[in-house]
Amino acid sequence: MISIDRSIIFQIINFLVLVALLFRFLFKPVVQALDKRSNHIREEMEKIEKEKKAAEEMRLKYEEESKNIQIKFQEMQELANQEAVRIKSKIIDEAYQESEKIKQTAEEKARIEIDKLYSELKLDIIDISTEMAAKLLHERIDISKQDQLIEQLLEEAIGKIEIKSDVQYGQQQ
Amino acid sequence: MDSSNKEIVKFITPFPMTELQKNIVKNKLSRIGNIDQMIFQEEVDTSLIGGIIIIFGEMLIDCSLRTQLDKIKEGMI
Amino acid sequence: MENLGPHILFMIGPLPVTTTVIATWLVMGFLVLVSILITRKLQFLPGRLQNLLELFVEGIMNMIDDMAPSRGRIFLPLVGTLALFIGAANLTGLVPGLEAPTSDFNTALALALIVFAAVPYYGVKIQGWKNYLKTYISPSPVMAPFHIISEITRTFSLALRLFGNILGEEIVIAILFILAPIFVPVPMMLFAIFTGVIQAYIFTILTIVYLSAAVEKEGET
Repeated sequence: MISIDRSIIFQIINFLVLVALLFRFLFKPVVQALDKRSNHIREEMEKIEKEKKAAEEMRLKYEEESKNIQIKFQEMQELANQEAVRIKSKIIDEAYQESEKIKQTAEEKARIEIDKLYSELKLDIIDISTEMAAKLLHERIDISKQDQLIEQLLEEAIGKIEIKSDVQYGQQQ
Repeated sequence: MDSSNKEIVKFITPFPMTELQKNIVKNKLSRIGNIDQMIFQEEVDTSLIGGIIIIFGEMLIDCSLRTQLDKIKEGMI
Repeated sequence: MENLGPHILFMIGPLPVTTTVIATWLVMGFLVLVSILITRKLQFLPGRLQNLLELFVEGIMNMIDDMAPSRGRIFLPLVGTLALFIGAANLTGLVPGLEAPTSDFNTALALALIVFAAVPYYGVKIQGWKNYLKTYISPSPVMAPFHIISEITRTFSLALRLFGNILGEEIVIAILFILAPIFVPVPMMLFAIFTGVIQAYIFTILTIVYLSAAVEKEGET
């Protein structure tokens, strides 16, 4: 049963031919298909990785930008606040000065008015009091007192005139 | 001395003058002038209140209470 | 019993065309035809048959890579063909009127000789003459004859193991057919399928072991 004949050469050749045929029709195309698929999967993975990275970068960029915008916004807000405070104080100052001026003018006017009133009142009082004194004197003075008045007042006035005219007469004589 | 040389002296009083008053006035005037050469005229003005105003040539002797009051009033103003 | 064993049908030149050779051609034709049918329309998303084929190819490559790292692609055509051919040939015996080509010692020895030749071929190809020859004198030149003897004997043992198992099994089935032709041989045939696959696996894995030993670099193991 165990016999070796020349058919062994046939079998060797047969097997080598089979290796070649299966290589051509089986292993090569299948390996290629497998490679293609794994390549495709790798490419897809790389693509996904790349996209993920890009998205991450984008996210970081946006974060950075939004942070910047926030900072800028805060700065602007602060500036606006300062400006508002400045304008506010300016308006208040102006209003204060204006009111001060109005107050002063009003005080001035009031003072002048009071002064006027006061002097008018004074004049009135003087007038009235003089008038009253005149009336009073009028009632008190009669002929008997007239004698005395004339005597005294004339004496006084003549005395003055005498002193003046002494000099004049002295020159004439 | 002619009468034409006589000076007119005007008395203004609130009441008509009595003889006594006239004498007093003449007596006083005699010290500054010759009363014989004077012609006296009298006038009554009640607004003087008291005293006398004498107009004597260009001289005015105002001894009225009214004037005294006015002076006081001016002093007050 | 006269039917058992190959006999010469006709001659092509000096070479005899035996029943074994015819059976071998049939197996070859079957394998190539199936391969062409499946790979003719390989798809990106594999169907059931293509999936099976891919699983087989990947399995062989993984087996090689396990023992000889990153040699899967180089050894795949030889090892894969061995596995497919021996498996298919072993099962051919179950088809009535056909004998398994591997039950002919010429076939088994032919396969073993191919492995015997492939070992130095790949050894030289991958390591170079010098490094490959060094493996024969390691760990000492005294070992060289033993290396050579071991290669020869293991080749014969490879051939005999395959041939003996398959032939023995065929004889058993044939005897059982004679004794109790209807029901008894059926479980034996099922067992034969198992044996055929196992023998194909053993031959294949031993081939991988021999090849990996030949391409290992000195001192790397």
